[in-house]
Amino acid sequence: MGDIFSMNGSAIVGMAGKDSVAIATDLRYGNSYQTIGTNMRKVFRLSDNLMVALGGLATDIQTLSAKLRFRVNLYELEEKRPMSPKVATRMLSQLLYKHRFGPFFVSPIVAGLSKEGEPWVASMDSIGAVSDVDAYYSEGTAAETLMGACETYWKEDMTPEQLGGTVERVIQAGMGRDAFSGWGAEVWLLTSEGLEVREVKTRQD
Amino acid sequence: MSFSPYTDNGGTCVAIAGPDYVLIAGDTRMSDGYNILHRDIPKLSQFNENIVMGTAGMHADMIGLRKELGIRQQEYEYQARTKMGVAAFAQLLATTLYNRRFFPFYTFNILAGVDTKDNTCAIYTYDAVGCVLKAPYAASGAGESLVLPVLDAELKARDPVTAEEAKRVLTAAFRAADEREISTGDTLMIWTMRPGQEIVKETMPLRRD
Amino acid sequence: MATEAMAGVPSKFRKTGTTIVGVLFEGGVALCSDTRATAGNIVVDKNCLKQHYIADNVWCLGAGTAADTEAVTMQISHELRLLQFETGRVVPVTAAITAMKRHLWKYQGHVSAALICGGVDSTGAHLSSVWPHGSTDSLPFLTMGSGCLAALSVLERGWRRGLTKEEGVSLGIEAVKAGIFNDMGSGSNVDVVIIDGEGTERRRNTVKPGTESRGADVL
Repeated sequence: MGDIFSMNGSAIVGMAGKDSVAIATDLRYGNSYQTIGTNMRKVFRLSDNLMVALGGLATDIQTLSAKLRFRVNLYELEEKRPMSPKVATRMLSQLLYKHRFGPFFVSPIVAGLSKEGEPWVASMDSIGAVSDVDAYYSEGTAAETLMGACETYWKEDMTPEQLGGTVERVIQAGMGRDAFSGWGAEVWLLTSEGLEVREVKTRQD
Repeated sequence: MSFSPYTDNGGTCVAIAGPDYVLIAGDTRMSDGYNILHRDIPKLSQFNENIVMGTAGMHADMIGLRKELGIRQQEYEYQARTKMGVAAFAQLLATTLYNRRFFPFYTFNILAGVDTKDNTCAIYTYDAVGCVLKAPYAASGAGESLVLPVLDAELKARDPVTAEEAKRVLTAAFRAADEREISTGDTLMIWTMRPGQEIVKETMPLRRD
Repeated sequence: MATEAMAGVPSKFRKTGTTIVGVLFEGGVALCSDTRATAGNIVVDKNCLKQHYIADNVWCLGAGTAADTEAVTMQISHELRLLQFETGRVVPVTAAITAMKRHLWKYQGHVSAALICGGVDSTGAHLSSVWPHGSTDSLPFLTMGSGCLAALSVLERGWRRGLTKEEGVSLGIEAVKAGIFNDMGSGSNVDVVIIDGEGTERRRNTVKPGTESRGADVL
């Protein structure tokens, strides 16, 4: 894979349950087949009820997360209210499409809870084409393997506990068959009670 | 436009083995690009009551390969005056593929069989040029990457499951490929092989879109 | 694919490998689409929406790179809203089509959006296709996307002058169904938007041929 999207490697999955959303990501940072780091965070909490996970090229993940944080903070200062995940999705989409002919090499997943507590998961491609109809999305070099696992393990109306368990299972299974992601994983589970971040034990390869 | 000898006709094959059974399955769609050429072309080839091969990749090469293997099998059986066993056939398939190392058959095979010597069940998985691996389960073709993680999660590091449980896992995993991979669909053929028994052949409808 | 190679970007963009259909009937127009979005051979969205709002009386269906169809239709929708404020009238369909073709022509095909645009204004019902380089066709029945051949065969057989609204809609649905079953880039369900003198009616997932063909787990 000489592809710029898969240079650093990533596995990210976002899933909605009943009154809860979860994102799971791997922790590897690599340069092609060589692993450079094993604690690269790819999820960003931009507001109390808003998380964005970015897969793809590491430098673009960092640049874009900084741009996003700046924009969300400015919005919340000006508007004096939190940014809803729906607005965040739209905003990120616009930001990506602005660079249509020289894109950020990222694949984002946005997950959060609305003011009413409605769960929201959306994904988009590197130029901002949004998908928000399904209850689960996967991105990164492990997108395909994760998608296979999501398709079998996702159930309707999962409780937060079930949801956390399911994304953990999905990330374990999906990462196991992708050479470019792995070395541990994190599960971020967001409910009305707050955010729970949990590190997952995985194969170290 | 220059001549290109290969096409990808899509599709997925999966196999799971247990101590006293082996399942092998494949969809029946044959496609070229975005076109569906046929909805009922089996990817499973039976060589005798103990040997079944599943082939994804290029359909024409599957036919060619199957023909060549059939001839070599017949030669073997005339000379040795005995039915060919899976282990011998597995090696035959590997050498047949390697014989075409520099103009390969564009086929991705899995071989399922019952070893009549000790009544064990085996699966062999191949790349296009004859690298062979004996495995407890395998998948090949367009939906391979969607199916394998599910099989890993359900079957790896676990005691052998019953044939019924294995069939449930196989259909659940195949559903993922059916739903998310566009060249996989129409009908799922599942063959169950058991030592000393006839092959049980079943089908299940898949998406037709 | 060619457009992405030109932009020097790998083909990881989300596409709507699509069947979209527009049918003119007596006094109005029906726009029908499938709901599958793909990236390569993988379905990224099983039930995506390919209808785009332009104005209350003008709607669009998009095929091609998903981000481009969304961006172009949004841009044109906003332009038309401004035009409506300026003129104080219902915007003519041709204004939408002209705005789209100018935008697409400007980008010389690099914005890979293939659109079917339909609507009703003071001069009657209109239906046009807009191609990625900016050319347009105005015809009584139209189809675009990877499933266009399958859909077109149904339209050629079934279309005639003076179709009623329901006849037009069901012809459109049948055409999309042909795309859903015979083109692997298209799948899942059929969405319809109908525009006539009465107003606009949207029917989301009006039939689910792809989803229903799935069959139960019998084993």
